[in-house]
Amino acid sequence: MPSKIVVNPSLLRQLGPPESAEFCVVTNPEFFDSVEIVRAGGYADYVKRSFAGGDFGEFLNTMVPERAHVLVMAPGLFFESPRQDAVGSQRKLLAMACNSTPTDHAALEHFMRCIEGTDPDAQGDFSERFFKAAENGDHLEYRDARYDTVAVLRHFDRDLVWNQQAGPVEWGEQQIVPAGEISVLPIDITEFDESLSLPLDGEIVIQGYPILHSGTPSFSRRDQARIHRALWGLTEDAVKARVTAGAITGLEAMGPNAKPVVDMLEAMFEIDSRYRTVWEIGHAVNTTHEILPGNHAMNEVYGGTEGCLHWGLGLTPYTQYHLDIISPGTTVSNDKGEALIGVVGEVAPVRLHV
Amino acid sequence: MPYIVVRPDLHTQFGQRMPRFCLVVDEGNPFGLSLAPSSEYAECSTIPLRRGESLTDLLDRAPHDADLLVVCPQSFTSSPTNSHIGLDRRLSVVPCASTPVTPDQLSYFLRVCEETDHDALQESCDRILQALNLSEQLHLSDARHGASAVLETWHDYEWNQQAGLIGGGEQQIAPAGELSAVPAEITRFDSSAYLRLSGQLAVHGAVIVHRGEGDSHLKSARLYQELAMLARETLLLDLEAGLVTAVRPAGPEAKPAADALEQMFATDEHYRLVWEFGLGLNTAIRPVEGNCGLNEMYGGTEGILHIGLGLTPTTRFALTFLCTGTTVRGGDEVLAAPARRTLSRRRSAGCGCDEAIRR
Repeated sequence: MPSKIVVNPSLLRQLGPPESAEFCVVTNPEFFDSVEIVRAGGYADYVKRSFAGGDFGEFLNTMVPERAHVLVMAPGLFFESPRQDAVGSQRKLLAMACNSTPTDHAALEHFMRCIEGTDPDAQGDFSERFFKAAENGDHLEYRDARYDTVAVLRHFDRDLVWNQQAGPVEWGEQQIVPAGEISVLPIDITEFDESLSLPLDGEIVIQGYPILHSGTPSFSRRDQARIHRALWGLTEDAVKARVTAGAITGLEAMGPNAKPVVDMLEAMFEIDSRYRTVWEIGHAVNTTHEILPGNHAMNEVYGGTEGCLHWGLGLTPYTQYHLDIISPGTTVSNDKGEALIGVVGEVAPVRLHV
Repeated sequence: MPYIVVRPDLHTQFGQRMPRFCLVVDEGNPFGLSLAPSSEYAECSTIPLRRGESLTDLLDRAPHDADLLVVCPQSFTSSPTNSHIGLDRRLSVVPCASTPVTPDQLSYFLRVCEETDHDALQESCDRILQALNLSEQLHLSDARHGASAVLETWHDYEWNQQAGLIGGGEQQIAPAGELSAVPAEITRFDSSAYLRLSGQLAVHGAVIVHRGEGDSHLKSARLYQELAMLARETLLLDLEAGLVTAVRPAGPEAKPAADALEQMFATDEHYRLVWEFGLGLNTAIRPVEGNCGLNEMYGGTEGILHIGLGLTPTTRFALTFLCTGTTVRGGDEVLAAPARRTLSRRRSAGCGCDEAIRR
């Protein structure tokens, strides 16, 4: 009999005070009985709802209390964020990012602890300092001191979109959790455009923890697992990549465990050349997070102690997968030497859940 | 219906809160404004402003001991007197009827209200007022276009501050963030009064064409279309004793806007009078596209100059021109300057690559 997945709303600081709201956990039928809500935090009531798929906005309208803080943990389905009018001005919604990678009972338990550990105010402050330093510089430098590499992002060359997924959740808002990331992409992605890319040039080092996300395109879990296994060598050895105008133009394995990684990346590039584009740079700021080894989307916000960088290749549903590689060896600073992520010359510490 | 959330707790213009919060909306609430729960107020309510009703009349039936936020895009709201507001009420008014406003724009500017640092705005005003006290003149310059002008400050202008915390009996626009001077009483056009403003001014940036009460957005829309290019192009205005004596396009592309302004002057000479000298101070604003009056408080990173021509109902329209390339100095103090570069930053439910949040 699996242990309970305990949800304690009084530990979810990102939600703020209940103001007479109910606390509602929405989960899949197979986890329904496992979820145990601690009746703490001063809510009007504590309820569970079972969601087996379908239009989530409709589900909110009909099945979820009108004034509520809602936590959604619904792995195994493609979960689409509800529109704002379905959330309503009387709700706050947290949705666990457990759909793009296989998520089992143990993973839900672990990441619940990570969500509880999130300090939204600290993340908000980190974000303010990040943007201040980013705006103070003419360009940003992504370095890995171990390999003496640098890539430059000329972030004012064009209007890039900086998404801040960090801080408290206000009434009417939703947040994918665990939170703690500032991501930059070449455009507000509603329509894919192959000609777009980040103004990034130089050499980057991909080394750390890969996450292979699925999306709406058809895929097989076995393939996803197999590809992820082939990339796991990144936990041991690095791949150096040459980047030209935001696309990878060369790969070099920096150790024997990186050779299968290079082979797999080259195969992905061969099947879909769009995997070469570094679509996203993720600046993770969740400094209380612990990495759960394996292919877990919720690891993405891992922020070391001073922030941690991840590279993003591919973009679902255009490419079949999206690949994030948490790379603690990469630091980010502006051209004036002000640090944005990590400490220049150092590798971010890695907290692994064992 | 899609709705716009109003979060009372995040409207910090009220400072120490009254026990009640009232959201005043147009009758029928066509913009779907919806109140979020509050921990700062004991009681929150929504009151419709009846068609044709004035704010003064509404105040007669609105609760006391209250902070009122007025968001009525379909109603012209004239200012009630301080005594009518009463010491136990504060009024914050989003001035959104003189220009068309879309739900997205209104939602955006309400978000700006939530993000506005009112202490910082008060500090900016204090610094500017001190500079005004110490400097007989303000120097305006746009180095790129070689334009320079002087405003003589020690004259009987009416200075209006829309910044800082709202006290009992007071009212303020929202989003806040403006310090402006008019040559006479702010709501009464007096063509014998004028700002001592002379030289050459470069107009570049958002343009706002305010309609008068009773007029439709249609006519102002046409005029706006002719002037909108000033977001990219520049006009140079020759000024003498607060009057525009000549209009010159800085480049051939700006000629249609110059012609449109000359046409305005030919229709009504009152438009030549620079009625308002304004400093936009709200650094949380990024101007939205289109004819939107709420752009007026745009403060760049260190303040942005804007001028006003005309005043309704004396003139049919009132025009606001931002001068985003102009630096304003009072002694050693910089009161406005071209904005430093900023990044497009947005609060997001998830990572930009997350398919689940993209639609």
